Amino acid sequence: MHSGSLTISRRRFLHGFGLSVGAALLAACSSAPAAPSSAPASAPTTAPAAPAAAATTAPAAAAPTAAAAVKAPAPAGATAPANLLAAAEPNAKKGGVFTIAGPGDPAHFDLDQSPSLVNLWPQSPMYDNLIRFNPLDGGQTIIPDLAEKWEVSPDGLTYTFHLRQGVKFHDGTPFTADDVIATFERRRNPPSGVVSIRQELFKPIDHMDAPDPNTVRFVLSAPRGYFLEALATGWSVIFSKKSLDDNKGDLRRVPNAPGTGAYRYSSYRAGEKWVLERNPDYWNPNVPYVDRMERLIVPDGKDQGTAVLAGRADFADNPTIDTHQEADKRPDQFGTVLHRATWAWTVTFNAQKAPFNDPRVRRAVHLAINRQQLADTYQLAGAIDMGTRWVQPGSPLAMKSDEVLKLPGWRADKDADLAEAKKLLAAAGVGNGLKNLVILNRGTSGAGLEVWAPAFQDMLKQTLGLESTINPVETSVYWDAVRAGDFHMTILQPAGAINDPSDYWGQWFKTNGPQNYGNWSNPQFDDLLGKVDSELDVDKRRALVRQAEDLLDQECPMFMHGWMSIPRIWNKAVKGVDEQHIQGTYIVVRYDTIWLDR
Amino acid sequence: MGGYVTRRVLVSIPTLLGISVLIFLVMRVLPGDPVSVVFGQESFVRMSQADQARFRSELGLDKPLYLQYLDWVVAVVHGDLGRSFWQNETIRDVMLRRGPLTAQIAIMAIVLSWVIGVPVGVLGAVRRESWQDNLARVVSTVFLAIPSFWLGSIIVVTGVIYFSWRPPIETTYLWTDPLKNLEMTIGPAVALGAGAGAYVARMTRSSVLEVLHADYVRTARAKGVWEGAVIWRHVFANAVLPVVTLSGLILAGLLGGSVAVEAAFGVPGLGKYLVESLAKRDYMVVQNLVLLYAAVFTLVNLATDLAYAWLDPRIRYE
Repeated sequence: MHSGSLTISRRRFLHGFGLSVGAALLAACSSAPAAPSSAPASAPTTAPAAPAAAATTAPAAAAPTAAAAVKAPAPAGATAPANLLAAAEPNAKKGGVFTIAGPGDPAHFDLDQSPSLVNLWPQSPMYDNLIRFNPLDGGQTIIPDLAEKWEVSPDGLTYTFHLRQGVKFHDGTPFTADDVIATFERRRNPPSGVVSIRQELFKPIDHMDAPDPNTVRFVLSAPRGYFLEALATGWSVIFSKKSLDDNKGDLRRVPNAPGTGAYRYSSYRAGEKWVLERNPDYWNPNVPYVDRMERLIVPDGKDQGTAVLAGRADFADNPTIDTHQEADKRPDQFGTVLHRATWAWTVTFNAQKAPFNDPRVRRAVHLAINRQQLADTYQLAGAIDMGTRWVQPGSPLAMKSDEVLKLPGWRADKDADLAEAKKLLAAAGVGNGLKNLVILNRGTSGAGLEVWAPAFQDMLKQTLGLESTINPVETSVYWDAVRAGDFHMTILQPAGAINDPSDYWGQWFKTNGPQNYGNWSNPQFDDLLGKVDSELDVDKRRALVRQAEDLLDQECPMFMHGWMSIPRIWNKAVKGVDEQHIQGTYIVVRYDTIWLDR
Repeated sequence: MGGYVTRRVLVSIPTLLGISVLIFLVMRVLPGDPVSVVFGQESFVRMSQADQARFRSELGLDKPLYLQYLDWVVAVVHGDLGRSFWQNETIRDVMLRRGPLTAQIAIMAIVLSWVIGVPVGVLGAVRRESWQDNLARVVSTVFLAIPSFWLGSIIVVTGVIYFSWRPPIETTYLWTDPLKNLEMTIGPAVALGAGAGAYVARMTRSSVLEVLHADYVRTARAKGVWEGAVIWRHVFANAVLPVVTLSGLILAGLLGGSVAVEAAFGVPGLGKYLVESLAKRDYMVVQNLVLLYAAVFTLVNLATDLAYAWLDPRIRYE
């Protein structure tokens, strides 16, 4: 090749190179990281929201509390139409763009087929429930939503909901009782090819009917003390019957299935962001406050946290603990909370495989491991609540923390527990310890593997002589290994849909429960759980729960380290939700009372 | 020239085919069930065997391996890269969306490596063993040793803690908002370009040293040519070939190897997408991305070879 055949000569190339060098330097200088415009907004002085007591328009007085829902399905009164949900603050402003840095992309878009927050958090603001947890008090009470009022029969079997009239889905379809029935019919009895993740919550529904287009009746086959909570959880959104019919009951490929919610779908770009916009026809004119909600898809928790710290986002759902701590140092700019999650940090034993097919060995681990020390090691990466037992803290059924901390296994003083644990191991024939146990870990990096797991492994060896290897595997391999039973112990963070043991115990501990990965089975526990499920009196239910917890302490299908908290941080310009009192991950998820003070 | 290019392109076809067979087989050998990952364990355990089989069939995983391979290759030849198992999104769309950022960062890093490396290398050679040369050699060794993802993390952390600044998270292209785009890409480009610049500096220094005492350089000086012109027109122009070769290799490596830096800055580029897809056992995405990288690598190598003839008139391709 001859250089003359080209239009650019070598000399011009070298001159051009010199020019491009200069241009690149200029560009680099112009984009230097000064960017003062991206700094966080000036610091407001108030917390995101006052508790429910400050609420002015929420019809909480007429609604049963979450606790009451557990205690008994007491009839609820009517709600005046004017008494609609609004932000607690009297000076709440409308307008603006609320930017969230949240976790990654969903595999599909069907909320009912997903257990994942990457569906719930971005999608639920497009929908309403029949009833919902009150965002103004962190979800401690249940308030009307698409149902203006409801009654419960004295036997706790029939729930009648009187629906709000004049409500339309985002595609203009009127909302009627048929939509409610179609939604819950799919939830309790999904068509072929569709999976209903929370099916167990709604299996007790014997049938549903609609006496008129604005009334819907649920008739249960047996009373359920948690039924209102099941309807109020963020997962229990109402879909349009038309949308379900059009898609043959499968919404996996439909990111914009119309809801009746305060926000409408605007756009979704995988790996980038969800954009929802205010629904101008929303039945509650008080909300939402912001014009648009943009959820940036930020899979890494560190990036979520730094996005808020640097003013790129207003709110981070699930940042890392170190960015949370950094935000804590700037209280005038940022709000922070360790948000109670609806999942626990556990090690599930393979109850079908020696030595953990022997409850004495499982209990020995329960007794010997010092939970407090283990939690201290993990504090660098997250937060595990101490003083919790088998029931999620915050539940009216949970044991008080100070009482839990006096119990064998749960207490910090290990002398007596360790002696008892060694006796149990000796009785089980493994008093001299064991080698070659396998701890299966989902994921090949992260704090669970790098911090918590080695600490647990070492404690097992030091206290009981149980020597193990940690086997970190990718998610795609992990579940195959679990199904095949290729483990002695596996580190898991199982979750529930509502803060009620009937839900999560049914999944984790019931014989053949969907999350009973250790295949533990105990007829006595199954029987007790059946009684817990159907008992409506809260005191009797609590007593049954305590019996079940005592049994779990003896049987220990898993090593329950504790219930988890996840960090959240937000710019102090964000107002309108009581983050400090939220008792679970799926309770307050719609962001409709959020407003921006700037 | 035309014949040479045609020959090189034809030779690259078996290479690409070989890579396609290799990546196809590697994905099938890896343990892990894509259906289980797509649906998640909680959904998967609730599925009937018939539904699991139906979803496998929808993804084309029920066919014999040779048919799966042929289907894929024929589709690629027709310009159809298929769909991701995850969300059913077309892979072409994802590449078009994420590719420009990765390419831009790689090109910026290369430009930066020249901006830093060439003057430093030339200075080091011209003032050999001076304090400037020693300093340049120490600094370039330091940047050779520092992993780019670590430098990236330091840039992000320093920005957040001391300046309340971090690069934008939202994808912004050069043609939509140039300034915001530069804010997003300059950090990764610096993190990658610093290391690449160190390589370029060392290569430039040694190449210039080789040419610096050539006869024609002495002649140019004897004619009274200005020293700057001697260095840039006579010395650097003749020393640039190895630097171009090195930069071609670095560029090809950056296009596929900027995964960790993209992760450090939270840039949704192709490298990050590849790693995520590998963990999800998203066969089609991994196969197509690996094939894309192979094609880019081949093309960059070809372009580098062609650049030789352009930069050095003595080289001919017949």
